[in-house]
Amino acid sequence: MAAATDDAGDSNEMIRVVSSDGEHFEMPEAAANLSLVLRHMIEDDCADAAGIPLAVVAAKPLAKIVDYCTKHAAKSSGLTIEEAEELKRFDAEFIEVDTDMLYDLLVAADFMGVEGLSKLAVQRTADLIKGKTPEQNRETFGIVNDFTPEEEEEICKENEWAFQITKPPSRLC
Amino acid sequence: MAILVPIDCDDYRASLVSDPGPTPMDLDGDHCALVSAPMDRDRDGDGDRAALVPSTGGGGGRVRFCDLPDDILSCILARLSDTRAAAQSSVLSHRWRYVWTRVCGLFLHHDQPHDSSPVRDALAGHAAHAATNIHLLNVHSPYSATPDATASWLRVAAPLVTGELSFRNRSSVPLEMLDFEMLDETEERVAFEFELPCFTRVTKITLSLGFLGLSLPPSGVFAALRELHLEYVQFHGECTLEDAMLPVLEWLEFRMSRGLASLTLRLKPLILMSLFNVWGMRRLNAVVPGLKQLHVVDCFHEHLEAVSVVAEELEDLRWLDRYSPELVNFNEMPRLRIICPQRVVDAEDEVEAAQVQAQARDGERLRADADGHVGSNALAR
Repeated sequence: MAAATDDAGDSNEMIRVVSSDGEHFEMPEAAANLSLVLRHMIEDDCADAAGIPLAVVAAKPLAKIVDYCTKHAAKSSGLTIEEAEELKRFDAEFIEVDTDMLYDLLVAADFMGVEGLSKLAVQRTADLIKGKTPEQNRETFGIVNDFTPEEEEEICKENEWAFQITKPPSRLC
Repeated sequence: MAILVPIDCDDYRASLVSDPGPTPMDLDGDHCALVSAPMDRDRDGDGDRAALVPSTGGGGGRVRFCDLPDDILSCILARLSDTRAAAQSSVLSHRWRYVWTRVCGLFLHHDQPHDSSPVRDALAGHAAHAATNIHLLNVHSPYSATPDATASWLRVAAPLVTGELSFRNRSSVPLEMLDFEMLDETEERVAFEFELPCFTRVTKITLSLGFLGLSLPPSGVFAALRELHLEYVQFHGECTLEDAMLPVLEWLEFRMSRGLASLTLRLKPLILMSLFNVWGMRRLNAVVPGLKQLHVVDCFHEHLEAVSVVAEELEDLRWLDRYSPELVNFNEMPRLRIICPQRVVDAEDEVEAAQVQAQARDGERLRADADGHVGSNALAR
């Protein structure tokens, strides 16, 4: 059980979490505190040896999140320029994932309230969208075009300002 | 240990959607306040703290991005910082059709100097589905926009923007070139100006105009405007700013501009003011009783005629400019703590040496005069 009186960053307590598919993970309390949800669970004395169940998060993304939080908690305050750059490199490498994992991270980081990771995943998704045609984006994100050709044409007309001048976004526009 | 209590997926979404909108601290206007939702929900219940429950099963399948809550999708589009690209997502699928209208920070531009219809149409399209107010409107025109084209999109934007308005004209021109242009005496200065419509709900306006002229509306109140930053503006003689139009203005900044011979200010709430390289100023008449910081740099060098400043609350005065006690009049400034008179630089030749001497003399005189104003308060030099 985490001692509620401990200062968040100073505790050496390990917090256990359990993924939706029943895998157990451990991370330092300071790392768990990067998640709003876990922090509140810890404050409310819900962190025990059985581990906090995170039924929305499967083992694969949870392993990544534990990794992220542990790294960031270890370097949370008073960063030197080198450390900040190293953290930036870590983030860049960390978020080089396929779209399945990206989706899982978006959902899980949002659910667990890990702000830095939410922003990182959102930015990564935006970067993937940038500079692509709608067709390419459908392909990347597995989006099924459920418009009729007429509807699609109507939308392109309605938002003509967005589709003109720059490269034609699709055959229909 | 608390017991898991399933919460259905719709509740989860509802809690995200009911998020009241970005806080004032959400400066980039991207509405990325996602993390509050789970916490709020978690804190609401008393017995179900541990209800961390799936909204989707983990793993499998790529057709899932459409399942993301609106707030995450709009956050992703916001991060594009390009409203044109965001709006192109409308054609992806029904799910995506209006997501871009939930983005509250718009980044727009128009390439044709005479035609700002892309900006106007984007604003109208966003407003038509009115999912959110515009908390940030950032417009740029890479080439020299005409006054008419500028005024026309501003009129459309005026009722729609609630937070920050930023416009940069001639954004393709490097700033060094604009600096050079400002000092170029041979350049023809023709009066092309547009009228800034009244933005009644905007809190901050930043205009970098590439020497487009600017006039203020004859009436109307910028009721929420706290910050006004103007740079690279071609003024036409006089400018008067008063409480009636700007009742809550706290920060006023004019930079790298020209043609402003006379500036008159009657602004009670003003706290910060800086005039930086407003080339060719002759007169400044400011009644700014709440002003705490005044910085004036290289404005009056050539043509100083008369400066009168009433600012009893002034604490920080930096006057890096020509000074003469006959022409520059400050009222009592009992709270003055910092004074930073004309800097002295090494001279390259005799003419410059004379200038430097004059500057040093001006600085000394300002210090001496300021000493008189502050009475017993110590001056930090």
